[in-house]
Amino acid sequence: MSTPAGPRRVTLFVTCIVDQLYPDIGKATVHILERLGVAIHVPRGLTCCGQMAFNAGFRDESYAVAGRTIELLRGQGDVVLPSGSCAAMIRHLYAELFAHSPYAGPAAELAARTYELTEYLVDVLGVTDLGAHYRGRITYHDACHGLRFLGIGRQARALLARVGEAEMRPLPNGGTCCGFGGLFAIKQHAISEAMLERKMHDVQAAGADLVVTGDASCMTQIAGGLSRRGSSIRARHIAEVLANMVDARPV
Amino acid sequence: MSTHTLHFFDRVDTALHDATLRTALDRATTRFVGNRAGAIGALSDADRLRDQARALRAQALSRLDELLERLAARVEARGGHVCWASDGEEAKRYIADLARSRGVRSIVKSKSMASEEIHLNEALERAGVEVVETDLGEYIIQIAGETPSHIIAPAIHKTREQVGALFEKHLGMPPTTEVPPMIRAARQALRQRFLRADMGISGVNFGVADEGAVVIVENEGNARLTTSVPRIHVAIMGIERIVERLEDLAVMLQVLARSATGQKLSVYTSIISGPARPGEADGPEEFHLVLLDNGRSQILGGQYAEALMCIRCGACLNACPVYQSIGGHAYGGVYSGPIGAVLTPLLQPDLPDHHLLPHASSLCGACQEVCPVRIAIPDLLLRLRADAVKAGKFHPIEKTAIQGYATMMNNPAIYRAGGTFARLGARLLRRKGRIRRLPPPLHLWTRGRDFPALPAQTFSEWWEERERQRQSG
Amino acid sequence: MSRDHILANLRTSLASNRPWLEEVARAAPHAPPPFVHPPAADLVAQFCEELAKLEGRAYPVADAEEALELIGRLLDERNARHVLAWDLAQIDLPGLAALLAGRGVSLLDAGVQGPGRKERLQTLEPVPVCLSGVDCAIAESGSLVLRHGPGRPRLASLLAPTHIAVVRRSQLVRGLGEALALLRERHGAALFDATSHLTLITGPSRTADIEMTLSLGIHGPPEVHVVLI
Repeated sequence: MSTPAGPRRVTLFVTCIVDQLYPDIGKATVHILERLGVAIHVPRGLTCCGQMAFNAGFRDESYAVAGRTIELLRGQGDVVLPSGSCAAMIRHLYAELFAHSPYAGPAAELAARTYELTEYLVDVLGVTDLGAHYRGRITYHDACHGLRFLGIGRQARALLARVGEAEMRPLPNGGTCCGFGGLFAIKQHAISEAMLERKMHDVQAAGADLVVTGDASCMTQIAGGLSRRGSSIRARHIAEVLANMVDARPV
Repeated sequence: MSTHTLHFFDRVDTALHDATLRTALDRATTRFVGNRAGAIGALSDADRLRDQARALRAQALSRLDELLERLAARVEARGGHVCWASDGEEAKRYIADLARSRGVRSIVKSKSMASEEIHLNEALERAGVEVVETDLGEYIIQIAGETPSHIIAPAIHKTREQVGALFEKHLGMPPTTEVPPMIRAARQALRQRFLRADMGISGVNFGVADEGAVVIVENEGNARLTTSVPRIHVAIMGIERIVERLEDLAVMLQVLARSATGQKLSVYTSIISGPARPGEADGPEEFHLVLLDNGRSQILGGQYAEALMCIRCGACLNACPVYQSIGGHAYGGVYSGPIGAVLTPLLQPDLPDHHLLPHASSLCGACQEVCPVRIAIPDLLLRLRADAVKAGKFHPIEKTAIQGYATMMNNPAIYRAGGTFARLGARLLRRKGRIRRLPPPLHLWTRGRDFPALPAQTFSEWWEERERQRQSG
Repeated sequence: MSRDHILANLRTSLASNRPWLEEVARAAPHAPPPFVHPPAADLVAQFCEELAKLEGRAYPVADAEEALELIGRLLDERNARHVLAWDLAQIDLPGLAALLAGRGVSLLDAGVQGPGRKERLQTLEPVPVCLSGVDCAIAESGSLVLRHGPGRPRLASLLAPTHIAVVRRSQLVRGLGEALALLRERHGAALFDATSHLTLITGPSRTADIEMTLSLGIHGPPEVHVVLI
């Protein structure tokens, strides 16, 4: 990963869920990086990493979507995603998806320059203090794929520790899955709901007013549960907290 | 309760609504998880020990043919007998024939998952032999007419009240909900079974090729009694459960105990090499080792070979949020939890809905994190899912949806149109900034959760607009 | 023949996967560690502590005399008239035979082989105390290592509700790796020539199968007493 001379430039891959459901996460990521002097490129027509089809076992369809994504990201330098699960797809599972195919090489090459947002900020840019503020109590949920397949979590905690005025509260069983799991949330909805129930119990026990995570998918599950239970606890992506955009969305 | 006649989703539903089961599972898995963490944490170098365990399993598997031959030859040199069983039928035939020819009337059994895999007890009972499970948990479920719900704690789903009722009915124990009298009743009842049995059947945790020995690990003492008291000992071993040297046990036994229950070592480890030697006061006069293949030799050559590294510790079950919610019976087979979701389609393919098991996972990776031999269970589940699709095992709606998804993601115009359509729909559905009811099949989301209202503009649209403004401005 | 069939299948399978398996096998050293916990300064103290955690009892004594006194007391407490034991000559405790004879405690004949096996087992069953030596003992887990064989019946550490084991301090090793290495050093390839059975005993018999409630003595002895000379 050689860094070209001159101002740093990254390619931002917001992921399909952020694009369609949570553009604020994308905007927040843009603001954070630009404030750090990073130039951002967003390839036109970039949509999805292909994980949904891959997880469902439909490898041909996943190959088609992921192959196109590899093409769109070819030669685009460091790629940053505000999602541990999509970054893990590229870094951990593209090798399996593209094994013995013409994309095996390009997939490996892409994986070597793909980063999840918090690891990019802390480990590559060397930054933990983004000048963010939040007056309240925050608890952090470790999204599984990022935690176990990318080994991240330390970085998010380092960033949140520097959020002014915020009080961090540990989340009991913080590393336990929220129950989203992609299509699992629909196909195994009963189990997904049971897992969500336990996460809700733990979130309540944490005593925070804001639950923060690094994956919009987990956030959808957790926010969906909190909302249905009429809870006043809000759920936000870490980018939104770091960009002081916690109040940008009404709900 | 025979669970395999119900469909998987019905079994899950039953489990989720069983409050007693949920409480029992919670108590047991929380305890196991905590104990394991403590035991692993106390090691000087847990990572190294696990790396070694994985390497030793891989080493043994890489030479499985050679090691099995060596094991068999040395068992026979010690006066033992070896049956190479291609499948369950062959294993059952051998044991039933042996029982018949030796005039065996009653058998005591210590824990053997392999024997449950092939339904050995039923076959022996059909042959007119009485079989009594002696592991307390297995004994409980045997008299309850159930199947095990956990790899190492088979009766984990039963409350003390339920056990008390069973013992009252079957052992004539005076009514109680205290555990000590239940333990006394079980000890007493089973004692005479051991003493009167003609044959003892055990499982095998590890075969040791160099010594012609089998290793049995337990906490209760029933396996020691099963393998020492009756005149004949039959040990059933899955062919993959082998190590080369006695010394390898120093790694394997220590990761097994810590991963399973958080103990440093299980209470009893028996290392048995053939029948009693001349001059030995006790021990069996005959020793038979049944090497069970039942699909394993084939699995070794495919993309699931890693699953054969499993040492049946149960750590993945305890760590799995899905298992914690639904328990073992929901899986329908002998092996449950994360490794069960892999092994059942491979070893018990005649179970009708086994192709659903790999989907009963959010791929969170907690299993892999605790596996003492670091099996990449999520990767194996993903391969099984792909295999099921290749075999046409999917709902037509799903295929259509996935194809639609791929088309949308790869066609900017369709992607944009789809987004616009969704936003229109969302505007109709949203109430106070959230969506409480989505149309089928997404209603399965909104049964228990709200869904966010779609924003007015996608990120791409915002970005493109910003870029346009920057270029023009 | 199934044997040939299974071996043929294995060889076919390994033709594909052996390289990958060997690669994984090479990823870590195979030599087992002699022990796995931070080493303790005092093995006797470590052994006693570990056994106590398991609800076994360890009694460090100064000499054979104290050991005999202790064993006498344990027998008295249980009104033991009979014991099931190793051949006393194989237990490293001079005076043991005299102690038992002096108290009128008889040694049961542990032999059960041959016709009349079940009858003999029934005779042994009510015995209140088992008595054995050990080959070595493992400090970091509180374990006893027993190599059986002539004069060392399996049941003499299993059948009765109380098991008394006589251990010399010199028999203590740190960890399981060391214990297995010691056995190998002593017996080499002949480890299982004279005996069919090796047992590791780590505390009293236990189960938590009923509602995760810990209970001792479900099948094996609930009481393990280690006399450490």
